[in-house]
Amino acid sequence: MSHMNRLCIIPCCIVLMLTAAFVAAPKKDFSENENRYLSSFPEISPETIADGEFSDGISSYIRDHFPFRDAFVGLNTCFERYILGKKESGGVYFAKDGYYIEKYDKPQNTDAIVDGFNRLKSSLPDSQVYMCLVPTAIEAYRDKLPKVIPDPSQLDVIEEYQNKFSGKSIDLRETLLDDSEENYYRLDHHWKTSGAFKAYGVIAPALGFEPLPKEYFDVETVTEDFRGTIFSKIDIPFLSGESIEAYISKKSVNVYYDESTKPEHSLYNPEYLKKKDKYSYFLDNIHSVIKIDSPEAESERSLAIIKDSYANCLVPFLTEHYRRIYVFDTRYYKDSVSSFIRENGIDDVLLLYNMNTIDTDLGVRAVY
Amino acid sequence: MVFSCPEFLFFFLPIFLIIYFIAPYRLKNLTLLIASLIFYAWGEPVYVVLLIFSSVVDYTNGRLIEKFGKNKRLRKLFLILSIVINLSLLGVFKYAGFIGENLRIFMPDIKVTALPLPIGISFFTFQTMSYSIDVYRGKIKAEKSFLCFMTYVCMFPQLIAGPIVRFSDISSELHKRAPSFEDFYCGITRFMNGLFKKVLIADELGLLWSVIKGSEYSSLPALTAWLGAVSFTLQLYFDFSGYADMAVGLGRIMGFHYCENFNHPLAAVSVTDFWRRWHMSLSEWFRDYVYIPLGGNRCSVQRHIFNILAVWCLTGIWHGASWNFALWGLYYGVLLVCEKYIWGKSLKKLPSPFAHLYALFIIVVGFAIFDIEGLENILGYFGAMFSGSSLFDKSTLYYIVNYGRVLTAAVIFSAPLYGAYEKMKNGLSSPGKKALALLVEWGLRCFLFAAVIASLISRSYSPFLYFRF
Repeated sequence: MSHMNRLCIIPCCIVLMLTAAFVAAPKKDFSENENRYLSSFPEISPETIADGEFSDGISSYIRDHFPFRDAFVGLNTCFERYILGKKESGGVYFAKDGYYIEKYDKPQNTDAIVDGFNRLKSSLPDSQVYMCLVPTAIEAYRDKLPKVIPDPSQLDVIEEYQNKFSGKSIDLRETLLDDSEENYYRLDHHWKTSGAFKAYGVIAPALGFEPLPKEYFDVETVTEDFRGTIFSKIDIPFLSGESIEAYISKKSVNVYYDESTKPEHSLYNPEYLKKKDKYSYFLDNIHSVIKIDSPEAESERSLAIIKDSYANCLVPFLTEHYRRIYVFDTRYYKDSVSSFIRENGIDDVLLLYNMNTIDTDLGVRAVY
Repeated sequence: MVFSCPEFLFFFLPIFLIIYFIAPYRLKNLTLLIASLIFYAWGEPVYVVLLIFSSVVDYTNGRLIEKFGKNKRLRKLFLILSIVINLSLLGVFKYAGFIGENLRIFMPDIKVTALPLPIGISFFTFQTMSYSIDVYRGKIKAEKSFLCFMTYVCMFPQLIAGPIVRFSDISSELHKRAPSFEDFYCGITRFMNGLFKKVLIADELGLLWSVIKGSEYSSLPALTAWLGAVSFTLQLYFDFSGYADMAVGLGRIMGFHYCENFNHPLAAVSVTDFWRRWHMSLSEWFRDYVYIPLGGNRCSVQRHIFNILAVWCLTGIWHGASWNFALWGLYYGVLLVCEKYIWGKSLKKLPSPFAHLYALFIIVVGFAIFDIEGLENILGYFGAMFSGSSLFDKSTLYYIVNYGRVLTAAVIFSAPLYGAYEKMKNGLSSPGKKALALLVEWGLRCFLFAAVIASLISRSYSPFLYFRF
């Protein structure tokens, strides 16, 4: 045998070093990158061993705490993209110009969801109910994607929703599909604030207001290092972050999170800008209900928004017009939204969802 | 536990190998046995009892068959006892649910709940049966050391997905094997090659097949259906032969020389040829213990045809308790009979590219039967393959674009390339060139190994296809 055959020791050493690193490294409880709690060491007992719970637990414990985990996920993405020549990884398409775009699956629950919307609408005879569905990056940036992707058209699905919905629809299909890089993030599944602002230009008139011009706001770049949820899925380490803008108004607001009686005076939460989850800068991540009073608003009218997180960066524009806005997250709001709206005599109701997750959104089923 | 999971690669295997190589010579088998029991018990501890039971029964039967060497009736009795017990284990744990389900068609009151399948039961029962039969036939001597015998039955490399190793192949190595660097080197190389086949090719193709298999067959374009069947064929080959490579490699690290299980089956030129190359340890098992005792081909034509059909139905059913496996076996039985008696001679005259195409066509269609459950679904899938609603659609193109490179790699590596490379390397006369070849080879292997780790850490879970069998 040649001396060079000793090279087979190298992979053995790689294994031993990774094993040692796994044992020695301190274990984290929470992964900011994936925004989830990591599994803890499983309980050892005769029962858990017998039913396989222990071995399953060990399996996920090892994966969750594996040394250089994020780097390995990134390596896997690069391997799939550049060596295997794949066009997607983990449900994300590799698009042109540094975009990473989530796939869009054929919707399964359209009828059930519209049905819920319609029931909400008929239970609120004294309010105007609007539905606004936001197409996502996959629809806006078709040109950046491989020509042959089989994902269905969100525009057709929006059409179907609008035909079946008995209230008024606000149609954003023309607004956000201009291929402008101002509309969606490259590494996050949300729209950019400038995209939301464009949508505001259509939503405000539909609600009966004159939209304010861009010059009215102080446009501030609050961070340049935003690597959002899509980044967490692909983890390619050398991707640079992108900026988050805030369109800040001079008017005052009182924001009551959940049942709190002590107001905050801003719609923004800069402490999130230091963390991974920077989009939560808008409206402080997740709350079952938020009450926003705007004493200097244009009208005395009130609005209830039932929504997903796309609304978080849109709400600041609407506070210019509504005296009071309630923002509901129906995943966590356990009482009836419709009785709340009736009891408080709210004038307008806006259902706002993005097309990519509406079909699987857990809150959308709890609308009514 | 499976070989391609982080628990195995980073904990079980290194810890086991360190202890195994440190352990004094007389404790090596014991170390291997204990490790194998832990390996088997991982996730499903109860069935270790089955493994121990099987070892005890066949050890005892082997000894008794030998002890009553002169008493033909007693010898036969113990052989039959061994076979009955092994087949009953299979019957109860593998086929009870299936038999019950089918009996219910006639007797609706029958209640049989299928037990969870003990991993590898089809492999270890076949190994122990071959042992008893070989002792009975006087081919081998009964093993005196229970430790050695149980190590043979439980040895973790081939325990859950073969190859079906005969006792005669490794009995001397069970008693005496000198660790050598050459074995270690060959074993590691083989194991890693198998790992790449499984993780980087089979699992990727599995993604494509699961999408196509899960779609609506009535609207499936013909090309997509073919693409699906081809990708499953390649997936199964790379999965199963990758596993066999890993098993042979692990055995080799410890100094065992297992039999080979595959010899480039997708390069076959006929159905007969395919079965000489695919899952060889199983077809040889059926040949030696069923086909030849039934009379093989040294009998009347009718009897020969019956023998072929019977053996291939059994081969089919061996793969799992479900009708599609029986159908798959019968499909091959019929085709083998046709090759023997109808078109075998003309096939030999066919230019080899056409013979390859003929064999591949049969193999690919066969694996569609193999993996699609229910006659209705199989017919639906064939409908798409042979008279699809359209030739192709946007999805077909996307699958080709997305999986093109993996499919190409799979096709290339299913040809006997690696052997040719090894031959070329060994033929190199200059030591410098040889060293360079090894340097490149191991550099590539380290890179692919990093990709394997990355892939395993990124995904949640990927069990072996051959787990059901």
